[in-house]
Amino acid sequence: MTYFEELADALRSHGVAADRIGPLVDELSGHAAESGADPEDEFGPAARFAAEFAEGTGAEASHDGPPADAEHWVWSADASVDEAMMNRFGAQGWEIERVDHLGRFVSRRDLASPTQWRYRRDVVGRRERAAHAEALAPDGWEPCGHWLFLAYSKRPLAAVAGPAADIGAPAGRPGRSYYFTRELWIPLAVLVASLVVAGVLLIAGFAGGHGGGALRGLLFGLPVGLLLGAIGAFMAYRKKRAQFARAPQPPSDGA
Amino acid sequence: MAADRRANWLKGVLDLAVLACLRSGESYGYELAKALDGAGLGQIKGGTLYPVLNRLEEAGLVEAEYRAAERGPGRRYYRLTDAGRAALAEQGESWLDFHRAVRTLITGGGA
Repeated sequence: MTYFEELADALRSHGVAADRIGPLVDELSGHAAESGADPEDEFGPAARFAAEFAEGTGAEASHDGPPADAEHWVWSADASVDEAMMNRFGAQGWEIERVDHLGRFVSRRDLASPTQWRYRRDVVGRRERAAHAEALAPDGWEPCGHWLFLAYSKRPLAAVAGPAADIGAPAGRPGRSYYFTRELWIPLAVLVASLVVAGVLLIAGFAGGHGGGALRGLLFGLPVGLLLGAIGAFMAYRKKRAQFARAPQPPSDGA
Repeated sequence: MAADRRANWLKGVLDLAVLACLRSGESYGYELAKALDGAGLGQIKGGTLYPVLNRLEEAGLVEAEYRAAERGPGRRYYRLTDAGRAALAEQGESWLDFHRAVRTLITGGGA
């Protein structure tokens, strides 16, 4: 994550208005470009800058809850483990506020009175999101983010368990922020290996004096490869979507 | 040590210095930083300057306008409002009174 992405996230978590963040980040990146300074050196750590800036806008005052009583954490997990991880961290008091544009979970934890959160994930088309949220609302679920065809919802455990959901001494902040499994690594590794092999063969073709042949092969092979790759990716997408749609919900808390 | 002392002085007067830089017309962040440096206040980091600009804007002493650039990131241009001009006059006078008092003290009354 770049400095300015980190800064934008930190400003958001401090409650700075979205329409103020874009121009500010633009302004600061322009300043860094013009001065040639390293952004962190020029503006200080992103979290500190965001806190000082938000203090001036009064954003913290309107932010949900006093900032000193909440800690913030941005993390991610691939789709094969995300729901389990969300519930693991939800039990430690982490409330997901939203899913950012990179698919990461932007979370906060109330330090003064941490409470447990439960999460569920459903396969929902873009147009059905509102109807889906409405259908779950009577059971206390509210949307907390979307990623492709996945819709995430949260519910405070207190909604079904009462004061038993309160956490006396919350666990420390998790040591890792990224939970990726071989479900993600293997396809990525195959992709990288394919690109490397293609690159090596191409270089070998040119180096061996068969540049013309290699170029003709590229002209034919590239569109065919792209088409086959697109078909493969689309089929994998459909397969995963169907697989996730069939996955059972974790045991409910009684509602 | 000397740098720390200057930083402390600056804290009390940076708002005023920024307002003063805008007296002759609009400017943007990096240009203001250069103007402050050129005036002898030293290099003001963006991490110090932008929260000050934001506070001044929130207080209605400056107003800002974002302009997209043909190439690269856009800029926000700041200019004094009427309230900013009044604040500059009033706070400037207070600062000069303070400055005169310190100067008199330091020079043993021979200022």
